[in-house]
Amino acid sequence: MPTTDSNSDHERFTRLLLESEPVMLRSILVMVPHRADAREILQETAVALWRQFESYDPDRPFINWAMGFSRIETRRFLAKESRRAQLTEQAREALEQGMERSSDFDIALETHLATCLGKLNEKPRRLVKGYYHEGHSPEILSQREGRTVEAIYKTIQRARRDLQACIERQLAKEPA
Amino acid sequence: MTDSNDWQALIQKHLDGQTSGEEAAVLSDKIVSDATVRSEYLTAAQIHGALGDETLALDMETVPFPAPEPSQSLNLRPFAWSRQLAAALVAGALLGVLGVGVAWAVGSPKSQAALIPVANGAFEDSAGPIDSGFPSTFGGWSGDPAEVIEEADGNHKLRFLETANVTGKPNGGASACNVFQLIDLSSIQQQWDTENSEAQFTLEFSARFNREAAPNDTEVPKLKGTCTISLYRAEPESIGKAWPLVISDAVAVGNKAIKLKPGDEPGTLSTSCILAPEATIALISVNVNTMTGSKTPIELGGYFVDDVHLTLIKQPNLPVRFVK
Repeated sequence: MPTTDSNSDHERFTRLLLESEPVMLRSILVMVPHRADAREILQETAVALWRQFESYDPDRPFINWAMGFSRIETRRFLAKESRRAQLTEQAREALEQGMERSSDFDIALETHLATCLGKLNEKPRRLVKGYYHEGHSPEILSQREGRTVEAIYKTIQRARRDLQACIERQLAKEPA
Repeated sequence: MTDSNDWQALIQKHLDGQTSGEEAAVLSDKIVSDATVRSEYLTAAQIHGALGDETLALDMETVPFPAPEPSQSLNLRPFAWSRQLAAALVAGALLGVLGVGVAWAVGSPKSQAALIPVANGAFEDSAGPIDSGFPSTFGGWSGDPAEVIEEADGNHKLRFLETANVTGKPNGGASACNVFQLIDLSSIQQQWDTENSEAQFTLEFSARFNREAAPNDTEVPKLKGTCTISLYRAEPESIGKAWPLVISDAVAVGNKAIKLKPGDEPGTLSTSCILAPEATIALISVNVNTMTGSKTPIELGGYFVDDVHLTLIKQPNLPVRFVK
């Protein structure tokens, strides 16, 4: 943990962390899709980053430095995790290599996700909002919508596939 | 699994934490060996991750949503912790914020449940008529005239079209519309070592029925929806050849029925049978019966089925065996 203990250190760290957390969380979610688990890893990463903040070289991008910590915390979490079925280590390594090669889709996702969300029908949009942005479980959503839990999962999964198709269509429209 | 849709469905299930250990292992192998599936997984996971980004929440505010019920709602806003973290850092109270624990419900270690894959059990992977005739292989629905339809919200479900005789016999009974699927139990029996285990294994088969108003409702007032599971020690192609006499050879059977009126609330049927160690095949069927004894096809009303599941339940052996 930094010894200077100044407000400027706190503020600088907080600002850098807040800027980086969406990218970190997204990369954690690739390996650990359960959002509560991913946030737990993100918390542990934040603690580790804070403890080592003195060693951070401000000339280097904070996100690159932080991603190394999040990968370590993800592996640590998965080594002790037994509540949910996880991908094998080999599969995770293959995905990590794949993530290192950024694609046009990454950029298109940033640009078009909000637009494509707006194109979803009302029901799936409402469920996506409840599931992701309000953090409700499918069980709660099923009570509210008067549908089975399975139907809720299906609608959310279909919404994600529709979003992917929409983003890919938007990407195809862009000039090469 | 043979096509991209199957893998995409499995990827989506995994992202929601719905895969079993076996399914996650199968998906892992495919991710390692198949660059296309690897790429599909990364794309799907990126969308899953990006949807949790609170900056997008502003774009969703116009979506009407019923008022939350505080007593039932977890209401965990993603990223809310980071705002607290920022405040706590400034206040010098970092450890206090991060020290909050999280608890998960853990089921009894004495009872285990695992989903047994049912091909296209949610009917999301196809549209249009299903194959006709009795199935002779694993991995798909077939039977009397029925079709997978898409609802306005995009949900797919199976619609029973008309009664028929699945064996095609001209004078055979045609009072019901039956749709079947054969499930291979061999690998499940091996994996769980049911023959040598002291535990009791049960297969639970469930399906959700609903009935909508249809023009011929008055002609078929007694429509009944049924789900049936029967276990056999047999080769898959042999059951259809001996149907329906082979029914008496089943080593275990479970079935449940429901009568719905047009517009009734959907009902989920669930039936169970003991998984006998010698069984190699489960035949699951969903049907709608007109209760008429008719030998000619009858057009059915708006009877549908969705969300078909098969679950293996392992529990300590009980002094008395029972089935629901």
